[in-house]
Amino acid sequence: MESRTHKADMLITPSPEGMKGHLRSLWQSRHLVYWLTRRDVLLRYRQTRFGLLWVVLQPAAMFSVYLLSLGYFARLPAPSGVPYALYLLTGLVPWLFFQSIVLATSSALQHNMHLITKVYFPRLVLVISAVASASFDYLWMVLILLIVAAAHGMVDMTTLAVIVLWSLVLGLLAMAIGMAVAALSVYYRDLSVALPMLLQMVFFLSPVVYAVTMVPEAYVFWYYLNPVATLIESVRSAFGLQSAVLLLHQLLAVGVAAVSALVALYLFSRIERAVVDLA
Amino acid sequence: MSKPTAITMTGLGKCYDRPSAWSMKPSWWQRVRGIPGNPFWALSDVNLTIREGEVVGILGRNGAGKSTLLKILSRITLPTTGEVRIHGRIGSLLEVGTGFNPDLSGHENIYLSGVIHGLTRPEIDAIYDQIVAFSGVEEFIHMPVKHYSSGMYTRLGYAVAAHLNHDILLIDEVLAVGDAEFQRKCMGHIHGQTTSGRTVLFVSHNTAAILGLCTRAIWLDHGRVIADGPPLEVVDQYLARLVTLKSDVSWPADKTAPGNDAVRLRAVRMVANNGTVSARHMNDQPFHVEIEYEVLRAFSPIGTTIAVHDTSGTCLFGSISNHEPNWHGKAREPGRYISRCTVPGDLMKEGVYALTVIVWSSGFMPVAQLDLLLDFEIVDSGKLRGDYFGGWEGYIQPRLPWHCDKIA
Repeated sequence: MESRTHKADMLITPSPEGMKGHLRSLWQSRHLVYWLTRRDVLLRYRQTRFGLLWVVLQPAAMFSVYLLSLGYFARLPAPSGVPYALYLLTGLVPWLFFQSIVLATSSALQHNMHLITKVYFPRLVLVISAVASASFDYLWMVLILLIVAAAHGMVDMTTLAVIVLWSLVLGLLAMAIGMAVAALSVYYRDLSVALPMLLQMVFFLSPVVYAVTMVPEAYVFWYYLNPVATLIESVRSAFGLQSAVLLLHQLLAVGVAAVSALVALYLFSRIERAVVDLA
Repeated sequence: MSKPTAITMTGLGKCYDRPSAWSMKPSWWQRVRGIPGNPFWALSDVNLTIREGEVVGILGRNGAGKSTLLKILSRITLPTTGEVRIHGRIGSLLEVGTGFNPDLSGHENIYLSGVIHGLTRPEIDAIYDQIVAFSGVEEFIHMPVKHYSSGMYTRLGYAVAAHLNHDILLIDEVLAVGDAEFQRKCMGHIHGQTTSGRTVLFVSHNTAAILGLCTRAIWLDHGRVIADGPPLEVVDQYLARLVTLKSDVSWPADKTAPGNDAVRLRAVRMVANNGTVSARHMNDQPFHVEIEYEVLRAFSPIGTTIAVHDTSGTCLFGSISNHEPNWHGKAREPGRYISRCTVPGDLMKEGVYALTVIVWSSGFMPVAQLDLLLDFEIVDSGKLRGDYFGGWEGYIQPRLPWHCDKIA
């Protein structure tokens, strides 16, 4: 066989391999990323009556409840004559993207413990495929969002590019948070228990169901120090619906995402082997 | 002689933290600093060199460090000390159907399990048809495996494992646990590996498998290498430590010895074919039971009987000396006598047995009956098994002649 002729030397030492080795073996495992993602996506919707429709049904249900309770009952205003429903949709879609990546990556190790204890592959593969399968759902939601927005004449040449750009940053931040939780919850189980509550807090401190115009002006600067708020509003800017996000805040959010990704990668690489010993 | 090395382990050790009673986990700080809370060395100072093509059996009791060693070699866990150099692609088979998901089809599971084992898509494409054919589940290959019978599931899992083309294979004994049919297939496959020049590390309790398959055996105990060498020697040492056997017993020349005023026993011993006293015999080799006794005064005929019991107390067989050519039925003059019974090779099955000895006089009336006097063990040399490693029904394992003719 081909593999016989090409023999690679491998060295196993007590220290985990460095970042460079990590990325190399990650590249070698790209097939695994594909098949694990495929597994996750297929399993989520296989043998359910509505199949892939669930990608849309789940957010649609949440959307309806928010619309009814906050738009109709509480009469939350949307800025500048836009229907509240559309405003809500432009915030809810990126929020769900953020939330599902955080949840999927934070449980990636625990969910695949049966694999981790039986065979070696770069554990980062599990994180990447969790992100990929969450992104798969996001693509459909963005598609629907674009159609709805286009019907309202709010889509132009730059819309897609802006969405992609800020979604990447938002996804990176979500992945970093998820990975850090995955790593730290190996020692602190409490963290994964507290995570849904923390997400809930971020949800209410971000402009998902209400407009930033409702935040007292004196607090807006501080409000946008929350990178999730900045990033959701930046995605929203693709439709011209943002309110006063400063470039400073955007740069800060990018910086936070990048730095936390590096920190999370470090934590994760420290923990990925130890997780087996504690299982 | 000196083939290229496949694996070199130097000073390999693995330390786990045993959680103490009042603090379940060591502090984060201790962790970061690498200070173990309550250290337990699952493996310590292991230095081994495995050469290409060697089939190495790793023996040891539960908790001896066997699985830890495989986990380090397969990179599932990191060592605490030392290093391993591996030359070639290494694959680990620690369970059947690694990564199988019940909701995915057989087809999808083959690809998923393959990539999890580090194969690339083209590599799996190349062996896909073989895997399907080997598994014998062609008709159901696009059905979720949760609808498979457990036999079909195992066959598919095994088919994937069997076709991994790594240079070095690490195989855990749990792979051999399962139904007898699967075990047979699994062991037979490893048997095939040994002739393919592939390096195999194989963890097992099953000494028959190690004797039959391996070119080298390593005995681990408390995380250390106790013995390393030819399987026969290592297995022998391992078994000697495992069960206490009694190969011989002798009595002083006085009235405390079993018997009566006319005849008293002096010794009973089990002797291997090469003349050494031993309580452990290979199942393909004959062994002898020697009963030594002293006739103190001229006495009526004397005879001896042996009986072999298994550990549950069931008598497997007995033998009575009434066809012995020299002294049977004849009156004995005083003196020392030895009666020797030979149990042929290729008769007994592996296991631990007890020997009962009876000395009788005329009318087969017992003079002395010594129940379960000696304990001995039969070790499966693997010769009679050939390429079969499944279970063996029944109480004995005789070699019977077989002959097959084509008649039409």
